[in-house]
Amino acid sequence: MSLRVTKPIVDVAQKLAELDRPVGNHGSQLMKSASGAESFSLVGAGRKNMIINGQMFINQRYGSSSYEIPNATGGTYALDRWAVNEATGGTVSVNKDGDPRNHAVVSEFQKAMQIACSGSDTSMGSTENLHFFQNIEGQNMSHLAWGTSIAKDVTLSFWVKTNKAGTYCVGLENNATNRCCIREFTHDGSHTWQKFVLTYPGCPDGTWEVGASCGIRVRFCLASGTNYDDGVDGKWVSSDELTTGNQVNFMDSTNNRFFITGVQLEEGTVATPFEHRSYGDEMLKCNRYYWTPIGTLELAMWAHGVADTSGIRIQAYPWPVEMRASPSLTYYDASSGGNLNKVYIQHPDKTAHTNISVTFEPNAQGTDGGFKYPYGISGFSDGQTGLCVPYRLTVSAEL
Amino acid sequence: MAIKYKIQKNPFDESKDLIEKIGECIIPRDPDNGDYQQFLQDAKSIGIATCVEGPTVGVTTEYKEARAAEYPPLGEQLDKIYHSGVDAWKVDIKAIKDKYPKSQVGVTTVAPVPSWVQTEVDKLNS
Repeated sequence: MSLRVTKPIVDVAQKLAELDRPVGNHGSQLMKSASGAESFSLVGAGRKNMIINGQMFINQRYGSSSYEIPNATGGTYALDRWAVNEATGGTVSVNKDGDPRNHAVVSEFQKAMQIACSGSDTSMGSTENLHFFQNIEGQNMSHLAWGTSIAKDVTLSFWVKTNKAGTYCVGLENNATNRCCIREFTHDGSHTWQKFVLTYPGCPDGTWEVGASCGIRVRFCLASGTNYDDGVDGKWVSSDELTTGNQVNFMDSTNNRFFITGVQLEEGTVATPFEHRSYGDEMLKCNRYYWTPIGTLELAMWAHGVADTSGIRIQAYPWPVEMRASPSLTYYDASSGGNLNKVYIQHPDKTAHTNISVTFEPNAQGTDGGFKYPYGISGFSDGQTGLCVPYRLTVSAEL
Repeated sequence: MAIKYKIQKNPFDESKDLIEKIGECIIPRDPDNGDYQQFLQDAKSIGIATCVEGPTVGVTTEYKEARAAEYPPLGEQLDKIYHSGVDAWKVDIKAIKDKYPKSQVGVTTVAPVPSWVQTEVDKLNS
């Protein structure tokens, strides 16, 4: 009896060659990943940036014009989704700037937000501060599981160019303003573009909104008084802070300029390449919070003979996307100048009427569109038609 | 403290009343709207009587404005004189003048602030 034994053919030379094959650190991690989910996370694929308009190329309110921020607490929106809180003794102006295209390191970005000190304040009062921020809707950050024991870390990356050297602070905060984590970054003031990456630990406690309210407020501080300087770099504190106490005073000279672009906030501890979304995608994301028509919105109106609201109906108009909440409106009765929150009405006899007060009724929940019935309009008989024009309409559901 | 807000009444559905923030914007009654949240906070901290005005329920226009709005366009008036004579034209114009006598002054009637404002402010306090 003979016994035949076979063994697998092993090419030892090939196996040794494979050991020498360069796969890089990331490649090794991928090869070792235990699941598809882990591989996906390592690659950093898919929609990841929780910041909207991080590349600063949408400014529906002011286009390319410079805008001086009014002195007020609470924030004033300039570029889409970015509000500036200017509560100092000085003044700042904000514009969408094309500077990144002139510098190779940031040439992947079309635009930056420039903040210029136009009136100085060399000494911050205790409550004075200048910061800009973006409120991230709770629904867009709920996957971070903040407020629980499995809260995930996040990483904020961005490019800054400034001629004001010093330490700046960037904080993440909840809507209740009782959980806050500050991270510092230092720019050398060489007026060159520099990239910064800040990682924040997930917040394991506190209340974090996961609905249509503000989930995370991302705040970049440029100057602050002592009332908000009890933050601890990289640690969560249970108070409303803007800085760690090392914050430079950007407001000390009217020569100071601060440019920022490429802002990305993503899950994890690694800053992956910036997620470039199309202009159309980004505009629709912005439209959930603010919208203004490029041209004039001319709405047909007609008397329909039903015994309500003086028998007047008006053309319903859908918003470009479902808005975050039923929005606030502003409009005028003329294409320039005119009366705020009044409309222009063209009667059936073609006569023009201005300074008309109407009460609009939002469509359905108001998040889908507007202008269902106007109350307070006369001069129409059954079957007649006319025109209603809310000039320079703005529709806002900002957080 | 000047009035900051004015109610715009929806005659058929109180839940669809609007709030005009004077000099700024028109605000819907939506708890998620940031301006509405600020309206309630202001009503609470400043006081409803101090910062909120009720809806306008009637406006009597001053006679000059009322007459001007009702006079036919100039071309029509000239046409009337050409075809029917000055006396016929006068009859038409007098009818408008009689309708709005010089004693008519401009009056705006404002209703009280609707009760829902107090109800919503009370919810903030609870």
